[in-house]
Amino acid sequence: MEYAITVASSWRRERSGDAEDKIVARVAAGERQALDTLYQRYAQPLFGYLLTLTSDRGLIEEILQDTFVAAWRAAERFEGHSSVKTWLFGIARRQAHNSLRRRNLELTDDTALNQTPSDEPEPEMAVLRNADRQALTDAITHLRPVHREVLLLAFVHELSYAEMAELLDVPIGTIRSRLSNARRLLREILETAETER
Amino acid sequence: MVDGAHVVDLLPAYLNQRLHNGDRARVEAHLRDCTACRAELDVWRAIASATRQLDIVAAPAPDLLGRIHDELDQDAAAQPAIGPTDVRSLQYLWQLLCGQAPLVRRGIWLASGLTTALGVLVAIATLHQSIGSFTLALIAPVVAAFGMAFIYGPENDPSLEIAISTPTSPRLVLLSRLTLVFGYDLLLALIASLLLTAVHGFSLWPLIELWFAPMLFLSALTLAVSLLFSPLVAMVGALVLWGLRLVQLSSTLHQNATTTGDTARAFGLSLLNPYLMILGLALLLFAIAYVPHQERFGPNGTMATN
Repeated sequence: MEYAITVASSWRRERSGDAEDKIVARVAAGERQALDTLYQRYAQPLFGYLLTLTSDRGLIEEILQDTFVAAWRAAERFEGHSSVKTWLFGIARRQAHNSLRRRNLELTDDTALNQTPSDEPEPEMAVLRNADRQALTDAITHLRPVHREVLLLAFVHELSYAEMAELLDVPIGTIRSRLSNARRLLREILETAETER
Repeated sequence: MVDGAHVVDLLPAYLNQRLHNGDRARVEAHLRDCTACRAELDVWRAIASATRQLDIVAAPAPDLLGRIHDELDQDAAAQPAIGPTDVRSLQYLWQLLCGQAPLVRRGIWLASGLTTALGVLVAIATLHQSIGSFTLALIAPVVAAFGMAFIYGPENDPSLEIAISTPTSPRLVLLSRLTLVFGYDLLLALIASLLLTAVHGFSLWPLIELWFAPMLFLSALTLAVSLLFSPLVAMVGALVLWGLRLVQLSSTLHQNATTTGDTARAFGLSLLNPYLMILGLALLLFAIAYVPHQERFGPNGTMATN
């Protein structure tokens, strides 16, 4: 089956993008208060996002600090090609990548697990529908970072497929694969937990 | 989307309210009639709700903003004391070049090296001085131009999207790759010229004059065209342009030329060189000015799936 997916990559920018671009322009002009505004808006979402990449809170705060310092230095080169949110998440991801590489903890990828996402409903999903929320949340914490990452980006940070693709530097098809794989792996984790009970 | 087809792939984006109106309406219409997709939506709803629960506990330490300000204060205080900013700039440029080198297509290095080596072999094998220099004058600009066609753009660099969302600006990315690839081709052509000088006893400078300005011009033209249109168009354009020049000049060359100087005169280079240099530099400046406005990168939000 062939169909076109159109993802709204910019509708939120139309609503708040211009105002945020101006905040970055003020940061570029050296206004510390504007950086504080960015921090108030994004420190917590970024912290939550980084928590998907590593569970070391001390390291996350280090990465977060590096992220805002890098944003301060790079603000004058921000030209609005991406939303401020994607830009900041991109910087945070790059900083996390560097920090984890220095500690020999590579961000894992799911190349081996990649499979073409099916556009057909799967019949075996009752276990996911019927699981209570806490069990499902626990199962999500057992996913590999690469799968937890797309779930958080999609449902907590509400990025579009296109924004996730831009941030993670992968094609949109890979985002769909990762979401589909995450769902399948969650089902497997819950099924294993049920049989062990 | 085909009416009636399942919409499983779209459900996470639908839940996020990140679908365009048209897709959203189609998903809603499909969900009204499809029990299986409604069940899938329930699955995604459960996953979304459980994922959001993960976010509640995430908050940085209250003094983190203060630490960021401290670091910026230290930065500001340290900057004049560190001394020569030139050294810092040079270090930054060096890091930039080292960072960009692995992102340039590997094939460029190999193809340029092999083509130039082949050209040198042909030029050395021929006993005719003018044909030897003609070969180099022909090959060096084309080799450099082909490299330029592939240094920037989503077709050439899967990492470009993330690169532009990080502190390195598109202009710096382009400039550093341009320096690397053009510098490499320049080095190859210089080595080739030195080899020919040693074997055939050419004078070095006339030989360099023969290829340098055309190389700069053709490279800059190819880069500009590849940014404006595509690497393929740029490559074909460079080939056609250079092919026409070759056809036009080869007959003149065969009849009249016997030395490198004759080849240069046949190319009309003593007259053309300044113009080619100016035109080449103008095209380079255009490419550098234009690159941040090049909108071809990044997913455009629309894709087809099978």
